[in-house]
Amino acid sequence: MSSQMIKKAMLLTAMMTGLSLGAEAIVPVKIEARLRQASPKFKGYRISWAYGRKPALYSYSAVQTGRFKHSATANQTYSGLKRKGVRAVAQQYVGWGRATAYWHCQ
Amino acid sequence: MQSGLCLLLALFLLSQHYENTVKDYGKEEAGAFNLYIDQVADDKLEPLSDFLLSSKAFLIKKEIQQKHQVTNIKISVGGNFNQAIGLSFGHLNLFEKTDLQQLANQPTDKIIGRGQGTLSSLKSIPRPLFASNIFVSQIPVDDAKAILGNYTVVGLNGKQQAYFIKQIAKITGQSEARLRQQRSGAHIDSSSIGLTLSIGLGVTFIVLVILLTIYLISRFKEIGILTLNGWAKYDILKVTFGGYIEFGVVIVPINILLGIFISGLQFNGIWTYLISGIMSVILVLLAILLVSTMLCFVSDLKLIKGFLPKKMLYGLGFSVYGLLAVGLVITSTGLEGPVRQIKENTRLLTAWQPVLDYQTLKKFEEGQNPGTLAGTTHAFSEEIYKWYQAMEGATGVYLATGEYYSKKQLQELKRMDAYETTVPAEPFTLASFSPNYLKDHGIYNNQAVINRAKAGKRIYLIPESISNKQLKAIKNWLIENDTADLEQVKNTFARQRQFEFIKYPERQPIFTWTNHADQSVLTKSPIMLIETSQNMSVNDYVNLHVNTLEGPLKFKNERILKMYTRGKVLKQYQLADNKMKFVPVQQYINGLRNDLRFTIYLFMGVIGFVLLILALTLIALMLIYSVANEKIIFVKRLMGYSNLKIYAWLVSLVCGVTGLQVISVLYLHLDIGLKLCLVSFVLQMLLMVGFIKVKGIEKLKGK
Repeated sequence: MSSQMIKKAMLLTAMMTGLSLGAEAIVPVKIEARLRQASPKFKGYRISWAYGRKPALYSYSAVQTGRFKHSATANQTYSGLKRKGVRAVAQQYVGWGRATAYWHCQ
Repeated sequence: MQSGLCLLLALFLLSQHYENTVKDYGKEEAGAFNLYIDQVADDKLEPLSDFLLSSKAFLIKKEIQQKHQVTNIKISVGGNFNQAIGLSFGHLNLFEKTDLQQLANQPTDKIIGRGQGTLSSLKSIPRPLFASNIFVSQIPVDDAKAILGNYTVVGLNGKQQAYFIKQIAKITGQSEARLRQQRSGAHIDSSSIGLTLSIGLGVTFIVLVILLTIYLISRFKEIGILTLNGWAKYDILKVTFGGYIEFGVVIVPINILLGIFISGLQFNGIWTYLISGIMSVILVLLAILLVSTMLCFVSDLKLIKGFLPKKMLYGLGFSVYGLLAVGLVITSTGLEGPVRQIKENTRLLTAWQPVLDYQTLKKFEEGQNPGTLAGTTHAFSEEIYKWYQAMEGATGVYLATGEYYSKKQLQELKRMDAYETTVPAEPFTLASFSPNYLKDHGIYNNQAVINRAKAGKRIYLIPESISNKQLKAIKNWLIENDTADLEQVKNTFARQRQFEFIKYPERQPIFTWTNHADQSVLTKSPIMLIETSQNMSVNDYVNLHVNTLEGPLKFKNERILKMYTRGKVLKQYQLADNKMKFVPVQQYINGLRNDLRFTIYLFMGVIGFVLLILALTLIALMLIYSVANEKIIFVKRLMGYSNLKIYAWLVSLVCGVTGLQVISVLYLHLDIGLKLCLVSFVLQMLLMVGFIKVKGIEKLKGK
C-alpha cells in the first residue's frame, strides 16, 4: 500500500502546488466585473456612477443622470459631455496598472 | 509562502490607510471647508489668484496626476502659511508646518516629496509599499490658471469664512452655492492588489490544509501503530504536526526582518510586521486544527488495521472537484464581456469600412492643464478650439460624429423625466458635420446656408420625410439641449442663440459615424448639424478632445494630419504639452481588439488550467475508488456487472455537477459558459471511459 500511497500523495502534492502557483498569478483576472456603484450628490440630486475594473484589465467609468449634463473619464479616456439621460461611458485598457475613474457634472 | 502573503496583505492594508489619510488631509481641522472653483473667466483669474494667495486662509488642493501608467497624488498648498497644517500618519509626521513654511520661501519649482523628473525636493515623504507617490508643491503665484481646482480651506473662523466666500463670489461672478458645489469626483482603484493578496492567501490556506491532510494520510501506518501502543490522539497530533508549528513560529522574526527590509520601520514600528506574522501563525494553527479534526473522525480500529481513510480522501477530492467546477463557471463570466466586445468590434470594422483611414484622436495628456481629466478646468478645450478654428475649413480637416437615439433610449429619457419639452417619439440619428465634410462627401452644398452656419446660426438639416409631430418634438428638444450652459462658450451662437431647421431631400445613404447594434451606420435620413466654430454649443465645445471613436475631430488621412500637428503648430496653440496622438480608425479599432484578445487569452489560460486540474482531480478520485475497492470491483466484474454499473456513482457525479454548471450558466446568460460546460463534460467522459478501459485491461492481464 505504501508505494501506491506515496505515488498518490506525490501526484496530489504536485497538483496542489501547481494549482496554488497558477492561482496566485491568475486569480486577479478571475475577479473582474468588480464594478462599484456610487451616488455622489450634485446640486442635491444623486448621480449614478459605476466604476472599477471591467473586464479585469480595463478601467471603467459610467455616469448617468437625467438632470444634468455629465461625463465620465476612465484613466485618460474621456467620454465627452453627454446630454441629460444619455449614459456617459469611458473605458481604457490598463493591464495590471491602477484604474482611476472620474465623474463630472454641470 | 503563506507568511509572505500575510506580510504583503498587511502592507497593502497599511498603504490603503495611508492613502485615505492623505485624501482627508485638512478635512479634520476645525473650521475646514471645501470650495470648488472652476470655469472662471480669464480676466477674473488674476484677481482671484491674488486674493486667494494673500488671504488669511491656508489652501490645500489635491490632484491625481497620471503619467505613463504611474499615478501620483499632487498636493498644492498656498495662502497663509502661518495657518499651515502638517500631515501625519499615526505617529509619523509625513510633513510638518515648518516644512511647509520652508517650502513657501523657496522658488515654486521646489517640492516636498518625490516628483517627476526635474523638480528638486526639500525633503522626502515616507510612503509604504503599494501606496501612490505623494508630493507637495506650492500653488504658483505667477500662473493664474493654476488657481482653479477643488480646495480644502483651513484657518478661518466662521466670520472670516463668510467674508472669504463672499469675496470669491464677487471676484468670480459665481454664486456661493456654486462655489460650494462639488462638480466632479474621482476614485483610484487599488482593490485588485488587495483582492489578489486575499485570494492568494485563501488559496494557500486551502493548499496548506490539503498538504497537511496528505501528510497525515501518508503517516497513517505509523499512527496506527502508535494507537495500537495506546497513544492518545492528542499526543499523536503533537508529534506529527509539532514541527510545522515550530516552523511557523520561527518564520515570524524572519517575516519581521523582511518587512523592515521592504518598507522600513517608520510606520507603526514593528507592530505591522509582528501582527502579520502572528496572523500567519494563526492560519497555520487553524489549518492543523482542521486536519486534526478530520483525524478524530477516523476510528481507532481503522487506524490500527491500516485501512485507507476513504472518507477523508473522498471529502478532499470532492471538495476540490466542486471548487473547480464553480471556478469554471466564474471564469466564464469573465470571458463573456470581452468576447462580446470583440464581436462588436469586428462588426464595427466592416460597417466603418469607408472611413478606416481617417485619423481620430486616441490619446492625450493633461500636460500643462492639470485638472482636465477631473473636469476642473476647460483650458485644454480652449486651446483645441483655437487650434481648430485656425484650420477650420482646410481640406481634409473635418468635424464628423453621430449618435443614434433608439426607441429604448428615448423611452429612457422620457422615464427619467429629463426634459421639459416632449422627448421625440420616433428613433433618429443625430450627426454633426463640418461644412467642408458635407461638401466633400456630396451630402450638402448650399453655400448660402453654409455661410449662415459659419456666421453663427445653429443650422440643422432635417429629412423631408419627417412627420410634423416628430419635427416639432425634435426642434424643441434640440433647442432645450443646445441653449444650456452657454456661459462657457465664447462664440456667436452663445451670444445670439439663433437656430434654423432646413429640410433636405433624402437621396443616397449617408455615413453617420454611429456605432449602435440596432441601427446601420448608413442611413438616408439623419438629422445633421452643420457644425462650425461659431455655432458650437457647450457639448460641441468641450467634446473636441473626446478620444473615443465618437470624437468629432477627424483628419482625412495621415498626410493632412501631419500638416496640422507639426511641432511648431502645436506649440503656437499651447498644445505641445498635451501630446495628442491621432491614429487611423482602423488602427484604433484593431488596438481595441488586441487588448481584448489579450484579455481573452488570459482567461482561456485560466480556464485551460482549471480544466486540467479538474481532469487530474477526477483521475485522483477514480484512483482512490479503484484502489480502495479493489476487491469489491473484482467481485462485481466477476458477477458480470457492466462497467457503467460499477462506476455509476462516478458517472452520476460528473453528470450532476455538469448539470448544476449548466443551470447556473444559463441563469447567468453565458454562451461561452455553455460551450465550456460541454467541453468539460466531454473531456471528463473521455477520461472516465479511458480510465475504466485501462483498468479493465489491467484486470484481465491479472495485475
